[in-house]
Amino acid sequence: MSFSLKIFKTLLSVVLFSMYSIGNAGAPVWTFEPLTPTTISILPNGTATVQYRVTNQSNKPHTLMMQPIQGISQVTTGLGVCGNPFALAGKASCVLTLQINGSQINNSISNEPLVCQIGSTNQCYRPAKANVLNITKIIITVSGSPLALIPNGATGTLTVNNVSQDVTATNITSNFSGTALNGNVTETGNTCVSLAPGSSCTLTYTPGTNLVSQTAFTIQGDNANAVTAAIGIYIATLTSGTTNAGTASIVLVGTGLDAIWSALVPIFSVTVDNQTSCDEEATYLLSQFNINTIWTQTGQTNTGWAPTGNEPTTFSYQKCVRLCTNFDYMPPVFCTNLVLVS
Amino acid sequence: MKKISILLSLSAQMLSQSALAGDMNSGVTPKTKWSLVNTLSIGPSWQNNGHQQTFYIAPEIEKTYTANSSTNTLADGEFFLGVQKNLPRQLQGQLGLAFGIAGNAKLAGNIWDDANPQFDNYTYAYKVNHMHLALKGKLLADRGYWLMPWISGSLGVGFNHAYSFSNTPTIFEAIPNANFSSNTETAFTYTLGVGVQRILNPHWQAGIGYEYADWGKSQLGRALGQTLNSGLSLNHLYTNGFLINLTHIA
Repeated sequence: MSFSLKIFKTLLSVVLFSMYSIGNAGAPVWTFEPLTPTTISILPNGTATVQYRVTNQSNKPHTLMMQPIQGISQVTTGLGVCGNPFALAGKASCVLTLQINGSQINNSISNEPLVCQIGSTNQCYRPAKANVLNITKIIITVSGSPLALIPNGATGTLTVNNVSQDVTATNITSNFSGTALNGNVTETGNTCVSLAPGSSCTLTYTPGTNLVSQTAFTIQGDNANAVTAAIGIYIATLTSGTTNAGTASIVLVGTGLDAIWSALVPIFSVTVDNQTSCDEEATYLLSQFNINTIWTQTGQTNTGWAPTGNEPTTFSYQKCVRLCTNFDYMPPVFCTNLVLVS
Repeated sequence: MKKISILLSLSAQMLSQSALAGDMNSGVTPKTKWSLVNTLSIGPSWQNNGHQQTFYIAPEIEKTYTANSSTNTLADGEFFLGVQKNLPRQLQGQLGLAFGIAGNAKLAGNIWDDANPQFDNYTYAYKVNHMHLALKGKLLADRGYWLMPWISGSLGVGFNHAYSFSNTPTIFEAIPNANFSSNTETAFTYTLGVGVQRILNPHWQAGIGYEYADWGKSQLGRALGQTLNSGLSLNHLYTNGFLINLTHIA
């Protein structure tokens, strides 16, 4: 056997094996392409719409029907929208539109929808794992987040609200595991052992000695959805910020602001305009100003931060603001939490 | 089948040579009367594969069931009760009823939706066990040697119980199908055997033999929601066994 023939045979074997492997990989006869988010948390009285493009990958026609799901109805009107049932010729597709009704969902929905050949459950497919419906009914919500604490300072509280109409949430606790808060914050108070529908309870947190930037964690009950809240431990905290009708004067109220002031001239950072909340630090646009030029601080011992007349003459509403220590612009720099100035 | 033909030909040749040898000394005292004989045979068998099948189980639902090529070992046993009589030319004939039973034949493969290998989305498996009651004949050549060659054959009725069908998706998107139901088929069955055995004393003999068996038809029942055709079926399920036998002659 010549050398070239051996090479040819080897290559042929590789190609044939690859074709065999591909042929045995499997593929759904009809596929679901998500056109909207498919992981949704829905309020007890809320509604949501999820859409998939269903495509018949076979050359053979199929008449399909979605299996019923409690709390989900199929919208069958509209251009290109799948009927119930719906016939797809080979390689044809339509848009499966699902209306989710929070008041009719008992708990949660996952690994749906199933679409079967009509009249039988012997040929059914669902979306890929990353695209299946994942509907969680919201039972509890949290207010007071993000919570700003000072090292070894006063405790802070978050309020948990049971927004369901018929489910009593039990054993609601915080879970810090795997986060920077673990070991630096302790849940020292909990009135959420049993939370009746429509009621609220509080979780109390005691800070440790270390600074921790704003960090998300989960609060969850035995039978309730997980909600995300955030706590930060800062050198000082801001509780409110106001400006006087568009003038350059800003009044910030907080706790422990001496720590900021004692580190020479503080700096501050602001976000872009028109913020509605200060939950996500990553979105902030950092700018630096000489704090002495534009504002006043109240509520603490230092009251000398007065406008000098050199400040900008206007200040846009709805900005998130924080103060940071300024060691001649050298690190380390410690900051307060962010507060919405409006 | 070719191997079986060769084995049977050799055995037939040995037996005919025995017959032509005339009245040489026999290991047992020739008996001209009918003697009661019973034989217990046990040993391993190897089943042959199933075969690929394609059929509709409902309108627009056509599936192909491929057959894996691996063979499966199962336990095989038979009890024979009959009579024996010396025949001319140093031959001995046995005729009687055989009750056979076999362990689970395991059949497996893949399922292609739309009968298309592109949609090779499930594996399946099921079992078949077998019993039979047959009229069996056995011809032995007693030339006075250390071993007696023999051939055998049986025809009868078999009971093939197909059960424990299961299917498993191989991709996340595929949902398990309803399983085919269990079913017992009554079928024509036959065996062909060849082997040797040794005379231990006038009443006891022991030996070993090869047996080729066709269990006949087996078929699974319909699955829930199936409206067309029946379950997987095999018109023949062949086994090849090597059985040790112990014979008592009254």
